[in-house]
Amino acid sequence: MIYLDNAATTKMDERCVEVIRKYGVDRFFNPSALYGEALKVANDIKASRTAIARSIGAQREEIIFTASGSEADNLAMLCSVKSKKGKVIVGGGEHSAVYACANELSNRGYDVVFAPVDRYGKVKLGELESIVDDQVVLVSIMHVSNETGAINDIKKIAELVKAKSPRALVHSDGVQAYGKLPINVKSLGVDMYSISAHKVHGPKGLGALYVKKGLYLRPIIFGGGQEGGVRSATENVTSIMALGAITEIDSKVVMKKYQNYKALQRYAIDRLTKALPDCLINTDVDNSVGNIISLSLADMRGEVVVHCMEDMGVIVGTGSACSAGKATKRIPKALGIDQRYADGMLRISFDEYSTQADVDTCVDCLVKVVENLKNYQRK
Amino acid sequence: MKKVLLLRCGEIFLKGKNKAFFENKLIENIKKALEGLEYTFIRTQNRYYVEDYEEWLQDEFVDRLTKVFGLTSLSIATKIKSEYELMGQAVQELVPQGNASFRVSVTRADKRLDKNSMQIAAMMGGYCLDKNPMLKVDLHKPQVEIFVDIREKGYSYVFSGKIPCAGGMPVGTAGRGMLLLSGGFDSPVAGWRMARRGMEIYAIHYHSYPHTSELAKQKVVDLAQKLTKYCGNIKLFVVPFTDIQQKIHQYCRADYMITVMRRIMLDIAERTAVKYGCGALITGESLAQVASQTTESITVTNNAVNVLPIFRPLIGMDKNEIMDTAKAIDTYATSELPYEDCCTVFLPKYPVIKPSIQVAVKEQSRIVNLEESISEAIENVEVISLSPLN
Repeated sequence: MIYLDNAATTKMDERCVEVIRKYGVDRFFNPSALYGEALKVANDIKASRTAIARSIGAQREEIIFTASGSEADNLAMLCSVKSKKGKVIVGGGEHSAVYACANELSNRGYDVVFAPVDRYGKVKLGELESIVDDQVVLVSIMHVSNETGAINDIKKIAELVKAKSPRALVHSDGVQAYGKLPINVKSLGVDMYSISAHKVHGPKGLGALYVKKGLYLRPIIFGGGQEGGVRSATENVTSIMALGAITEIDSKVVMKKYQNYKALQRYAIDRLTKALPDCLINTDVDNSVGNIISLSLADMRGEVVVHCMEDMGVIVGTGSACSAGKATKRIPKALGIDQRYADGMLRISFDEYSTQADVDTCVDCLVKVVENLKNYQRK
Repeated sequence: MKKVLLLRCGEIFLKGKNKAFFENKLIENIKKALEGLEYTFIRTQNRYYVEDYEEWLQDEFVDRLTKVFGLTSLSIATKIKSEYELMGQAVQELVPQGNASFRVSVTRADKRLDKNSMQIAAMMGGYCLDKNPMLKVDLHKPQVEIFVDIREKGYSYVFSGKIPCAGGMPVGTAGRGMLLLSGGFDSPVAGWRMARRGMEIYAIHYHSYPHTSELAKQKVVDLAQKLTKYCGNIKLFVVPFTDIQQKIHQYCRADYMITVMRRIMLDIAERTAVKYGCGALITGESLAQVASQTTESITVTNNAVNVLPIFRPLIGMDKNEIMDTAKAIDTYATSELPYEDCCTVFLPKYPVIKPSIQVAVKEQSRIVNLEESISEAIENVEVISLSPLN
């Protein structure tokens, strides 16, 4: 089986399995307890938190562990803004975790505005600039699109937002950027930044939110005061230690991975456009992370293509797995994709072990599937 | 004081010599619905009592019993020895606050007591007014009515208010029907309505993988599972339909594809129904809802069935009524899930609204080796057995 839906989730790194065993069985102590063994675990978590913080250019105290990237987004969106009214700007192609929070903020009385995205899912800076004013209290724009891989210029966005509304908080959902791009939150100029472990070969059930020093969030879970009192709960020790064990701190190594992904992405897009000249490529190869390719097939349903591909041993996605259960055309609409192509969105996403041979098999299968399904197009 | 559940049934007591058949079935269904719970079941004339259960499980008992077809209502009652003071205490527990109007109604099967019903009612009214002097007696239109039911063997039941149950006839007293279950809003409601008339339900679903997903199939399994809470055990037949659907697409003219497809679905449903001892087909058709539910379309699809009657309990209902029932029986949220069923995958742009039997038969006859495909589909049916306890 060839798995090319790594933007949905990744296979857990073997190193995580060992660490999970170690902290689940051998060193299972509650880090909040008072005995020596517990203190050791607390110190280990501290080290892991430091490593994860450094991997995005943050300090240890600026990391809040959560149960998911979605929770990190919720925390940033719903617990950061102090004023009870104001303007909230959200990217037009955001993940449903941010999109649903934006709707919630709208229900709570905030003036929520969606920043339009271009054909490839990147927020249009000019249009964003025109909607930012001094009433803005919160801006949330994803670093990398989970649908198309498009990279938003978060640094510029943060600058232009702060210039017009110094009190505005800037959050970026970095779930698809983490591990795929060198990231430095200080240089990006954001106040909050979300990441998730399971997108980078870590365990499911762990996310983290970077919160700039000096910014205080309202608690989302009350209890024993862990995570600075913002998110009480006994730490998810096994997952935190597992993510720490595989976190890449060296940005040069991340850059090297980025380049490898780009090479594979270029190869795949080249093969796809030659083999399926009718398909639309929704990923801008010059402005995207290399592990994601979005394409649309005319007069076909992505879901059917996915089933046929699976039968041939290749797993690809239709887009965000989190929205696969909902009949939503939000993303194709935001990208301005023609109706004929809107149902036929596919997402091919690599991990660092994906090869050109995998791409070849995938493209060959896709060609066969498309040829076959053409016989059953709507009359 | 000990709480018990008092169950009432309606229509079956109008039955004549065959009343025992209906009553035995109802009791069997009540016991099936309460499987896994501990209690004592008491059968008296025209009423049943569920007693000796753990009080913290009362909501679970009520939830299950309100879904048993054949029961019309139930009350949560206090069971006490037939002594006036105990009755008075039980009555006082039900006294409303404020200046509500009330009455106490007494029925007395035990004639050994020294007072008649009217006298006891007056005495109990006194207990109520002792507890809340602001109450007003109103024998005609009281806001609250408290019942004291004095039974034989020295026990009485005190209760107020009735919880409505599902009504209808006990499942299993009106044969077995094969429900065409699509995954939409209508067909589960159709199945529920026929079960309410006493039909045991089997269901059949057409699965066109990869054109429809495993999630679409799971949705239908989940819907059937929800129906088991009312209908009891259900056998779900999942027919592999891809080959036939692709052939329809290949050989038939576009506007007749849905008509031919529905004819074949009914044909397969009838053959499966006969094989598994079902006496009728059930569909969720509602007149004029879509192109395939016009009088002409129904005539043409009806024609594909040889012997069995097709029950269409929703034929005269409008969509809002159907949706309301779907919400009430808890199938709405599942039906709302977006996974497409087989009817929509090959939906032509312009389906025929007034098809004719001749053209439909001709189009169907163009499908090469259709009979083999139908036999193969029936042979490879997946049978899924569902029970309320799953």
